[in-house]
Amino acid sequence: MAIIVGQGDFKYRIVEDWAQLPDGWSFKEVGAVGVDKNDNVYVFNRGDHPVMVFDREGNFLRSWGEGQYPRAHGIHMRPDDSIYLTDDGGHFVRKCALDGKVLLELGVPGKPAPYMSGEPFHRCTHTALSPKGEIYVSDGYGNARVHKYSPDGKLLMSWGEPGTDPGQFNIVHNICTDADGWVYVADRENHRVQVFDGNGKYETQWNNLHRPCGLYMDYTRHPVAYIGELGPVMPVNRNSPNLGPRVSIVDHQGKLLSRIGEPHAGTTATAFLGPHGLAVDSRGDLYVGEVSWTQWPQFYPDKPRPDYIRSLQKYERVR
Amino acid sequence: MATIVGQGDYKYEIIENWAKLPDGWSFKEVAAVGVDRNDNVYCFTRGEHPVIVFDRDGNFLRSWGEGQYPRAHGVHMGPDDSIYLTDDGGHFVRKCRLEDGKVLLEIGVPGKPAPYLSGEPFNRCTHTALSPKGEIYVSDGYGNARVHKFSPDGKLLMSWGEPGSDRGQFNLVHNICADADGWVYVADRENHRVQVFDGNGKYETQWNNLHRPCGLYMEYTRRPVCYIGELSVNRLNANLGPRVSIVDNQGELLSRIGDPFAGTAPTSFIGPHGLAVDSRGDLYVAEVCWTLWPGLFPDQPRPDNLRTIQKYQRVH
Repeated sequence: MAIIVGQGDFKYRIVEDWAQLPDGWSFKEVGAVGVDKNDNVYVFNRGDHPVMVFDREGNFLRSWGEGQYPRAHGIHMRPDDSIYLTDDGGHFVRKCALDGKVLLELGVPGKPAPYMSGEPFHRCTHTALSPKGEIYVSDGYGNARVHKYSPDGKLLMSWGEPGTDPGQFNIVHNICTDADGWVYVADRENHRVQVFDGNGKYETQWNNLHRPCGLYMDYTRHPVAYIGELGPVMPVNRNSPNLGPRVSIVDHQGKLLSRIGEPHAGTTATAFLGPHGLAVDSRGDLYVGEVSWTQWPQFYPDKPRPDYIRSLQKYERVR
Repeated sequence: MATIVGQGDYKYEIIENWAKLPDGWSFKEVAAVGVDRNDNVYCFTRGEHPVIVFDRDGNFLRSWGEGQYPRAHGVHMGPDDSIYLTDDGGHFVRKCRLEDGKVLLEIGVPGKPAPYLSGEPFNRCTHTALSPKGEIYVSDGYGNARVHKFSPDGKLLMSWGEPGSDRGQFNLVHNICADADGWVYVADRENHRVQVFDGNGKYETQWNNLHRPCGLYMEYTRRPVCYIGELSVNRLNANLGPRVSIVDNQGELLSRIGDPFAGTAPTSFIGPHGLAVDSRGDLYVAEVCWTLWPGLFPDQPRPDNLRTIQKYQRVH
């Protein structure tokens, strides 16, 4: 029996056990996922094989990056056959060819800038590209900044500081752009997405979200946004429903179009633990990478983590 | 040297050590505070003397409620020389007489919570407000995601809200206020916002750019400003509270008190949880500092006499 989730124009059939990993391999957990122009899927994970590549049917194609990525966090892909990987544990961004060859590196691996200095990077989280190919980096856990680089990696400007006012950040967790040059920032612990122009001028914000964490938008005009939201983990609200973990799809004004997930965190096919990285292929099929190992003890402090928990699932668009 | 805090039209001189407690008494911590029409100040505490009353100069007047209030949470002052006390540990609201605490009305059954998230009153209710007709709104709270509306004599009229982050949903309904036009303002703490409803629970708007808004105080006028106590989560990141923000009736920031990080200096806060303003515009801020100390300062033992109430005298 097919399981259909979502509402309205954004309904999906869950494809369980999609990824066919080589025997004995594990994602551990998935920080992020991306799709290339051939609909091959790049899974940036925290296991022994940091980048694993699959075709759209889930057949394993190759892996790369072994030993080179301390803690997978963000992926951005563009149709020029490059992949931008952001590693928050290593404090760097790398632009790679699709076979993993490093084409550009920002930041110094293993050398963070001082905490909250505003200088790049301290646990950077994600990247996006402007219409001119300039590189935005969200930064991150140890800074409250967005940096803008020239396509060849020269720092052009930075904006943001800690706080809750417009233009301030409380964990800058993911970043996207659209074809008009608007910049969308998942301001996770402020429970909002902030929208800026290409030079960091605040434009608006989207609310009614819970810890928005993963952000994906197609590079078009007025794209919808796919938002992975983390769940409640404070002692006062850990058992409260309707706060995630979940995936929300919103229109270009931030209005909710569809939502996937159960009222509470869980391990069933229709529930989530930590939807952290999202990508959509040419057919509209959605991939959700989850940091399920990290999230498990926050929801279930008294239960040992099972040996296997799902950290990636495919949602095939139903039209 | 006077210490002045705040900005614009809302500047205050800090009055240190305002409350003169009887020898050997302690607030432990003050959850909420109210001011009567004579500018006497009612501190609803978690110590041995749940309600301690002072004059505006901090002279002790009396106490009451000993043994009757398991866990102080919210104060609202009625227009008829009454005080509404909300006890989240006891799951009840009491309307009391000011001079001696005589209970005039009780809502909820002390010690008997409704089932968790059942939507029925109460599971750790938090605060009250009054409509222009004297109907009683109760925010509820930690173990529900509801606002209940009662008739002035305590009959349940309606309830609204459910858990979640959409409009009209709540993620820890922590405080509630009403204004003279009948608008209802709800501190939706873990959704980091204040939601505004009409008197029957119809969503009107929300205020954002807040961090865990916890304490709310508004004068009972038309389009009053709002005093908001905001909590932090740790001392790692600046500008996330604990602090007091004063916003206009559209939620626009007018003034803000507090240092970038939590602390014990007169200019900083630990947990600004209950607020009240007297006839002169002077502000009282009560803090749940005993409760929040271990989370903010995990490596430091709690000092014996943490500040838990402070007066801020308006500078005109």
